[in-house]
Amino acid sequence: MIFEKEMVRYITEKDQSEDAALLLAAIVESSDDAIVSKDLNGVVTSWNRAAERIFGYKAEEMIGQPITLIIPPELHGDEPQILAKVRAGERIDHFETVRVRKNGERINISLTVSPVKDPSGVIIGAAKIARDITHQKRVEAALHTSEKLASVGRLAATVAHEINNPLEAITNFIYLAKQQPGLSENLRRYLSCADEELRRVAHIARQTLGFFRDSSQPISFAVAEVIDDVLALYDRKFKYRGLTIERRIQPHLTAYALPNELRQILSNLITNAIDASRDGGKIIIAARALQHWRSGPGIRITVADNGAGISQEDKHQLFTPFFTTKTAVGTGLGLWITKDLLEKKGGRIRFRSSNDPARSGTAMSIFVPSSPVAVADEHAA
Amino acid sequence: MSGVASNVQPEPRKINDKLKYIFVIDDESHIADSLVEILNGCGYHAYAFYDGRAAIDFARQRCPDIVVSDVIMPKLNGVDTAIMIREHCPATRIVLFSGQAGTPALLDQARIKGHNFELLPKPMHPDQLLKRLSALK
Repeated sequence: MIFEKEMVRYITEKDQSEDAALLLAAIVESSDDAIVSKDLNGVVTSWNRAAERIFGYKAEEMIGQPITLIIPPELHGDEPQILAKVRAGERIDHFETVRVRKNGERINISLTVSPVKDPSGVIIGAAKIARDITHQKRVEAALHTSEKLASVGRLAATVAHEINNPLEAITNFIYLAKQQPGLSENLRRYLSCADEELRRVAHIARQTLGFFRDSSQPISFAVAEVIDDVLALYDRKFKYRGLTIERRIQPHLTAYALPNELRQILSNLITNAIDASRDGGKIIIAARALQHWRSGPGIRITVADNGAGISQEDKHQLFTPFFTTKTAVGTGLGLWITKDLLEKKGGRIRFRSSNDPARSGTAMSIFVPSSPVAVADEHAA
Repeated sequence: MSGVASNVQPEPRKINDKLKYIFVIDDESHIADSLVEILNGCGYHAYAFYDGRAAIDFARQRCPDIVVSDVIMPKLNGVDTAIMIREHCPATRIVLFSGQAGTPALLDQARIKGHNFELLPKPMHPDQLLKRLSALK
């Protein structure tokens, strides 16, 4: 009797601990983070499903292998240090580092390592939990870049502000000088040239300031002026690349919107057109008023180039953040920001592109709705 | 300057015959003085002020037809100066002139108080400024 009771108790305990073990195994397998264990020589002893997904290696491929398989060569020195800490019974918490997937791709991970002890308390290995933080890192990097850009912009705006008064004074004095009687032919010419160059400087200063001025009120403005402002910025670049620019802007086109946002959007589209163009290519800017069936009255602006066109695969990712075909210089954020700016105000962006060699090119069209007319009266009289 | 304007200018400048008396307010004396010379050369009667107070005091004695004023100035800024001149001279046309940060914020404040002022960007070529002034109604 006692023997049976003992047997029942033994079996029950065994069941319970088996159940407990099965439960723990299920928890590990269902985790989103990679949970991996290794012995004190750094050889992998377990590898969960998330680890297979994150690192690209199946459990069979990793168990019995050194963990250094997923560590980039230049970081191999980390592993002895990690093992030393584990042997000393220490944990490593949320250590951010880089690992390599099976396909060679590098990923950012946040790693937590804890010692694993056997029932008698002897350290027999380590448990590692790794979270993929690649996306988070990219968002941080983008934020950092945009902060850098913002501070460069602020600096540019400060410079622009500071030079406006001296520019005004010089412009006035050259004007007055030109009015003096008895000027020689040459002197009149020099002053005229000086006047022209000053107008150019003034234009550039206004553009630099214009991009970063904080204006939250929509205003009524001539679309042609804003387009010309942006084109002027890229004037040198057009000449350098031998690009022909064709303007097809409807006369007297006005919009009631935020000119700075439009400048930013146009700047993005024109930069893309320039990058896509071959030397000697052509870029067309067209603008006209449009009554959209859903959004009402507005302006459609199209920037078209005859460059290589967008490939089928790329077409689907065009507006995805961080997607770029210009890996050295592209942030992959231009079109994403453009689309966001437009859609927030009820606008839209569409594109057509072909990479058929006979007629390759891309046309990006934006629709900017005009807010209902509500113009403030400016003069009391 | 008299006698210089008529035989030097390539085209006759149209000035606003009814609106001849102009105050130019700018704490940068080069700008205020050069503008006054340009305006006088075109037939206006222009006066330079280097701070808002002085212009307001003068306006109390005789209202100008037009005020062209810088916005960012020490002591009294252009918007407040304009508001105070307008109190005494409701018919005066006021044009603000600025290339500085903080201007939109000041204009917003003025708008809240019920004032809408035209703002011209610095630097502005004298030709453009003259055109704008002659177009004032």
